Amino acid sequence: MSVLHKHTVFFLLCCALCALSFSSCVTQDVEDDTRRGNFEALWRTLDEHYCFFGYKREAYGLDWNAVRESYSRRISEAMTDRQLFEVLAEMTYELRDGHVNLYAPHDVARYGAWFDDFPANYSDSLERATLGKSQDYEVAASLKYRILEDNIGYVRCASFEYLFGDGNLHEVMRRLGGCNALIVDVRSNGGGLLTAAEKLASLFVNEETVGGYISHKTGAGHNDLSAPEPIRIEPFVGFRWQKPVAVLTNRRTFSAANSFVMYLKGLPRVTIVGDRTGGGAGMPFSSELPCGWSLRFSACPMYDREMQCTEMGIDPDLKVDITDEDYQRGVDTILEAARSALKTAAP
Amino acid sequence: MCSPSLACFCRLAAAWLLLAVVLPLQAQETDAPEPWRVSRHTWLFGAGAANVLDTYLSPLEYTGTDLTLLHRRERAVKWGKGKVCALTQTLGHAAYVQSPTDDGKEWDGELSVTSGWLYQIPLSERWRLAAGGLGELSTGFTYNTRGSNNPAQGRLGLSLLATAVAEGDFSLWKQPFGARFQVDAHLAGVQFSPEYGQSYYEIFSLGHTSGIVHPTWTGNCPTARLEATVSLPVGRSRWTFGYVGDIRQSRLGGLKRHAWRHCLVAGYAFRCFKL
Repeated sequence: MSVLHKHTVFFLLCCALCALSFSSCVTQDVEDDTRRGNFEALWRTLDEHYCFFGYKREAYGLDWNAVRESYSRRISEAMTDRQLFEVLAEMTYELRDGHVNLYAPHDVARYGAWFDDFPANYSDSLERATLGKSQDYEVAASLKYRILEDNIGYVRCASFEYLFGDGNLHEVMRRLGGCNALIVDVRSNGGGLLTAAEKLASLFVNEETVGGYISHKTGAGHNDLSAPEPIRIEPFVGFRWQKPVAVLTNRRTFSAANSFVMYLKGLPRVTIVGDRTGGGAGMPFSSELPCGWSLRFSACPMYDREMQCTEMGIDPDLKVDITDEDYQRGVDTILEAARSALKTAAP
Repeated sequence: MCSPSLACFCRLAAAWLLLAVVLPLQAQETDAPEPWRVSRHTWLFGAGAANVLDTYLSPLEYTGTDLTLLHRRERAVKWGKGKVCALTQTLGHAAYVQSPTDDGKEWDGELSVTSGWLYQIPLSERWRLAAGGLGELSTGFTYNTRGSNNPAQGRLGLSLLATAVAEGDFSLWKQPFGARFQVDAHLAGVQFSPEYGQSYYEIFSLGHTSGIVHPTWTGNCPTARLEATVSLPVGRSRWTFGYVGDIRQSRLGGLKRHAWRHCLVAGYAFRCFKL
């Protein structure tokens, strides 16, 4: 074959490869933007991406196929947007997951039974009674802190939405370092950044410590999950807490705050005081429906050191509820129980 | 009186015009340099349509506007006896795309640098074919404004491309036009991609990096680029107009992605030589 022919063949081969690429379209089948299409899209997206089907089938018998059959009967093309939203929202509530939300222009579907059906065990009035007036406590990033009258340090962490700087944590530790014990209050902390939760937890470990495990979906099957890999908590580079510590929790301790409790539970000198946490152990991802509504769902499950899923919450070491009488007297029963426990445990 | 931004734009345009006219003049003032000393530079600017799908971010196809910039440098290599030329190409894309209902927005960017050699076959006095292989380093991102823990997707890849060029001159309306047709098709390589539901938190914060590097080939990465341009001498440079289609697709880690970009381009070409 002449050189000219060889290269003409190569040229034509390149053209053919190019034509193949242009014609081999990589596309995703998406349902039509109809009432039924959006219903099917929501069901399928969760079916393929939600990470807790296996766990929740065991926990309370969740059958996602049965859910589809049940709710499918309620779908009609004559429905209004609000009616469709109501049905789709109710379908997501079957997952019993605070990380599953459907966002429409008029409302956000959110499952709230994980805290609505339980005592609040927290109030702004009680927080004010503990922290005092604005001048009575200090603020480092999103941490409010002060020394209580019995020389116990108190840190209020209401959110993990923002990452703490090393300087923030260093100053908190320096200020509270002389205290006999420490209380970290994460009640009604709805979460935020897992890295912020890890950072705060790093104050309480002196060596690299496995705080739990995390995995992720590897395919559309309900059990297509990667092998769990450890979440390692590195010790804070600086002054770390070496004395007893109590972590205050309630049912609204959720998501990254739930992870913070998971990291600390079982560590030496740590006592979890209050109510069971709200859970939320699946890192959420987002997706969309053909109608434009946005969807959030748990995608990466997390487990504690014993490989137990904490999606449904973590039990405290010391179960305490705030009584109605104590609310009226302005007494934070959980805080007082923690103080008593710390005084007993203090060296 | 014009606004500062308009004045700035005019100065920039004038500078480009000067560059386009003066550089070829300088390049051609010396007689008959050796072929390997002469390099041909082509700049193309374009705008067009983009269609982006990334199932890590959304199952919906986003469509919108794409801006593109291409620079190509071709030069005969010293050892090639006049039959081999080196080609280096830099291609950048920036796109702003919307979901079908316009509720979601995405920013998408891509930068690729390709370099390799082509073997040239003259077909006639006026036409030549060239074919060869290119190595490509590409990187890019897509940012979706609606994502929670999956707001963006990053890309990094190393690929081997097959490339073919047909180029020649023809006369039209007594004007000496040039035509160029180039196809680049992906053959094989490696590419970064998270797994189906893997979070960037796991990869970058926890260091769980297993399964993020994927081998690619034409079957799971049917990717190609097509360029068709005509050029016309203006002064001593060549003004170029045409079409660039960039079809990048992949099925990696259970995720599907495509970025179909079709742009009309305009620019110029000039020759430089080194002493």
